[in-house]
Amino acid sequence: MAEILKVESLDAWYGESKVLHGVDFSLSAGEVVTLLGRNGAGKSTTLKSIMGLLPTRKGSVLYRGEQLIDAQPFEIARKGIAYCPEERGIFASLSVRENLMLPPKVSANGMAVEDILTLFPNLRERIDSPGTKLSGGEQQMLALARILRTGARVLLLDEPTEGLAPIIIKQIEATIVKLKELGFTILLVEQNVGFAQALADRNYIVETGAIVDEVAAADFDRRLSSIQSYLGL
Amino acid sequence: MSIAFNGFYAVKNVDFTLHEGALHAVIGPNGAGKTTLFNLLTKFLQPTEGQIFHRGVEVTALKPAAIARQGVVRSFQISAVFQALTIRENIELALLRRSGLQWRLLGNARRDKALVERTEQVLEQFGFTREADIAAAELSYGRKRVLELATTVATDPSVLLLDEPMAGLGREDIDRVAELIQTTAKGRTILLVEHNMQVVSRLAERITVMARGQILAEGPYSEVSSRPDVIAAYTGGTH
Amino acid sequence: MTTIFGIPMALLYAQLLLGIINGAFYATLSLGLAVIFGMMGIANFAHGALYMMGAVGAWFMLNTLGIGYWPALILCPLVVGAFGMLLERFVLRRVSHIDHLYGMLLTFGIAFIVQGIFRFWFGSAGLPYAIPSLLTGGVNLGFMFLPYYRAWVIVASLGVCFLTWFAIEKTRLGAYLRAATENSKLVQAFGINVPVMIMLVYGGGAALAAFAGVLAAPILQVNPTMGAEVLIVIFAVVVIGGLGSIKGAIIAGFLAGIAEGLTKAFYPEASTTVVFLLMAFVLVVMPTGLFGTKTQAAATSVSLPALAHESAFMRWALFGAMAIGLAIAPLFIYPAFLMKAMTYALFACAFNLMAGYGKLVSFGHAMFLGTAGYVTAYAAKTWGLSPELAILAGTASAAVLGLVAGWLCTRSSGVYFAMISLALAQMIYFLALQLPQTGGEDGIQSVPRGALFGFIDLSNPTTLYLFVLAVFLGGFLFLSCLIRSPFGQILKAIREHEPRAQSLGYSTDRYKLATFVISAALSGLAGSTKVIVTQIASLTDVHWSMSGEVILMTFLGGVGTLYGPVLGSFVVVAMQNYLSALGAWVTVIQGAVFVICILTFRRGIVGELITFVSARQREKDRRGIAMPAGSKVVTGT
Repeated sequence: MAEILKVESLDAWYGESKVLHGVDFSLSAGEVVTLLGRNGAGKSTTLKSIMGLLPTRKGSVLYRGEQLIDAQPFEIARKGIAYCPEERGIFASLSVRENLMLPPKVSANGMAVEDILTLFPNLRERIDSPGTKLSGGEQQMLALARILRTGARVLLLDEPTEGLAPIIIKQIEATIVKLKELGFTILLVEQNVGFAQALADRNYIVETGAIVDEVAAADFDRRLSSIQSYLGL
Repeated sequence: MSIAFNGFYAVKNVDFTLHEGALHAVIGPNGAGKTTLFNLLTKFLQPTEGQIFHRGVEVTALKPAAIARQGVVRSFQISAVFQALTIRENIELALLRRSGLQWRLLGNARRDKALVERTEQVLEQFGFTREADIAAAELSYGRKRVLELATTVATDPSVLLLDEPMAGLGREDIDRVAELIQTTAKGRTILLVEHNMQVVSRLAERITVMARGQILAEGPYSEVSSRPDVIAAYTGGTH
Repeated sequence: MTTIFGIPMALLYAQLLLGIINGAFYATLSLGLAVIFGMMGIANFAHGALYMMGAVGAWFMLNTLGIGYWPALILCPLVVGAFGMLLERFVLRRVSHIDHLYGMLLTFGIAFIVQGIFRFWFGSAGLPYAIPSLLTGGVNLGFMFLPYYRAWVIVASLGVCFLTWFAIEKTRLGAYLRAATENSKLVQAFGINVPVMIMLVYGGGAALAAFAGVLAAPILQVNPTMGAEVLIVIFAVVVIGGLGSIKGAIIAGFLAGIAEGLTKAFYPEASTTVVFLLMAFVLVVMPTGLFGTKTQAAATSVSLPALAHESAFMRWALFGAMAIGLAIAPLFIYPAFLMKAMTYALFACAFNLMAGYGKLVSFGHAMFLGTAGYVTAYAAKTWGLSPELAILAGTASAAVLGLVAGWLCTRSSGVYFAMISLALAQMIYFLALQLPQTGGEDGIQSVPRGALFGFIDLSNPTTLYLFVLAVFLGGFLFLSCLIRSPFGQILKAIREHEPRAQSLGYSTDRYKLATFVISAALSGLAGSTKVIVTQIASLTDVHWSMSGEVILMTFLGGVGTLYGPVLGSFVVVAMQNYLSALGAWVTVIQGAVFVICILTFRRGIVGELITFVSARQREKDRRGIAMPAGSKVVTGT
């Protein structure tokens, strides 16, 4: 498979404190890969840093061979990388429809609104209500739905299961499986081990701002106890 | 007790009792409402409904500072120290109120013998004697967390609410901080929000598991941690 | 003739119409202000200047280029909008990553520069601008005469307000804007070029202001200071409507205009104050204004400059050097200049207590200086009190005013705090203008200096100088002790991390209020002393430009440093004294110095110096530790 995103010795800072210490990993087209780790390990920071959302970063972020380390966040997004933030980032002053239509198209091969609404029937019913009147699960679906329209092929998802009921987590899991079938490349930040196991082709373990281990899907069961100890369980 | 944001419950109908002298931990996945519970207990958030009692007296309408003056003192998830002040000043600040100097407009706190002595004690207890006069901003993250714990303990609270004291710490620091918590727990009541299960199992006598704004289970660690529904809520279940 | 409460109906209608017209201007102007605030978090002090550029620009186009009203109505906003975009791109953007306060201060300096240049260019006199021929005349409605042009102003403003509202609430671009107001980083991560959007928003706000300016040209006095006068009202309007709320700005704009008009009919003296009364009332009932919900997120604070080491000896040596220096200075420098500079320095130090150590930057501090001045002048002249009692009365009055204003202001912070304090100060200004005791435009003149404690004659220049020196040094010493006291430590703690201070048991609101009162009282002391020196209490001391000057002095010298405000005051007063021959250019130079200060050395002269010395001290420490044993390892953490 073709390597689509390659991150090499990525360092990042919040103000003067260094939060990423040489993160290295890569994604191949069509893969689902997770970043696992405990709170504060630097998983979300890695996603933000790939998007250029941290004030300072150094190292290398290659997307389809193109260097993005000096690019602005909006330029990175326009290359075809979509970001779904922790806590969903639904805009309160926008309706569900406006939220859905907000991200501009970055290529012609985005999903049609009709297909998206078929994938998330709840959203169709509530299309004209304000974004924050949705339940947590619906907000998460909206957050996912809105980046599918744009035509981005690489999705960075930050803890889509956070604070959700098991039944909703199942739905999101099914959605991600569907997205994988549709050929999206997905980088997933997770703490939910079961969720990661069900979806991921490969898992990276993040600790104190660096990748410390890699676990392929086939080895997941065998290495479950070490994964759990990484997560502090 | 409940709180709603935009009509959306972050913590719903939580009944929670903290017993005197207990070392109690609250665990649960991200977004379960643990920090919100903390903010409610210390009145940084006002509950939409419900009541809070401290030693049988209702404190629901009090402001954060008033709660703190009753001896219920919290720490913060993201290290909260006064960055521009020195370590000594940080500790003095925690001690000023109880020494009755807090409204003194003139004079210097360093002239108060008792305060100086107490400051030295705290500095020593937490291993800051050598670095006492450097700005808190220059400490490493781990040491900042220790400093925050030191200032929290310096106020001599009867109830300590520690919000993820281990977040962002390296392994060596975790052991030290856990020890410090154990020492300070003597004669105090401690409520702890923590993700590190080793720490929780080592420290806590009782745990409460929260998920999606509600309490899922409560009891001794060994008992609760083996319950399948708790494991499922916490890890999302292994397939 | 029909009357209501003794007022003829016709007069009532006429005033109501005038009110609606003013309301139309207020709405158009506050709309731009609200959009800029929502997007950038900046209270745009340059808004008045941009409005003035619109009006003067229309005059210039007609008289120099022969471009008439209708083309000017389109061209002027385009030109001013482009100017606004350049301002954003090359000036404001450079401070967009730090506390929004600095952006606000920049617009403040820019307003000074623009106003000064235009005054130099066009003079201060009103410039006549004829009503376009298409809209001359009017129609008699039976109960009143309605000039066509005024009807057009209302229609045009409503149209522009509606268009702006539509663009923001109903279009795609508007959705970007609303989303970016909530979370600009995420919007960027979706592929939207937010920096360009911000530039367009500032340009759009500027264009709206200029549009209002062109509309105003035929019916209001066109002159370079017209913007400054309306700006303060607009701030009050935006606060009433709720900062950042589009709907709020439009509704509050018309509301304010109508309230003004009706007050003019019933009680003309209060008409200019009513907007500020309305604002105070709204804030007491709803702290975020009529439609405001957004509470401002805590911006990254700029930390106070502090030395790594300082000894008590160093502190006293510095203070001694300053005391001796000032004591012998009159041998070389004109004493009147020194006395003026010292009273300003005390004022700036008092301001700095709040702005620097309390992180509450007030834009209305002149109210304390001026009020105390009036009370002292009145007490000394009319009641014949001795100077020490008159000064005491002045200081006490400032403290009481500080208590009331502080109670209203300290419930908010950041930009809200600045705007509310400014609006309150404006109320005091109008009181000073209206009350019979203050002498209106003339002020209270020839205030007797009298004899201190009945036997020290202050008319002797040497005695007077020593008296002012003693007051200044006393005030300075008090402040320098205060910030080292337990109270001062707690104040710094609140500035650093307010929730943490609360969690240690400190009622932070009370500390802020106490700081406000102390700062007000010391500003009052400065104002009272100033009156005894200059023997006149006048409107300049309560005017908002005085509040601006004290900000300039403090930031130029170094906010949050002990000596910064003193140095800043001497520099500014020297500039005013020695450059006064340059006339209008003084404002331009002051504004430019301010802008340069914020852009290049925002810690101020003393602040930068301290940072430099402290860095060298730390460097030395590090070498000191590493060198001797070479074995000291910083362990673990």
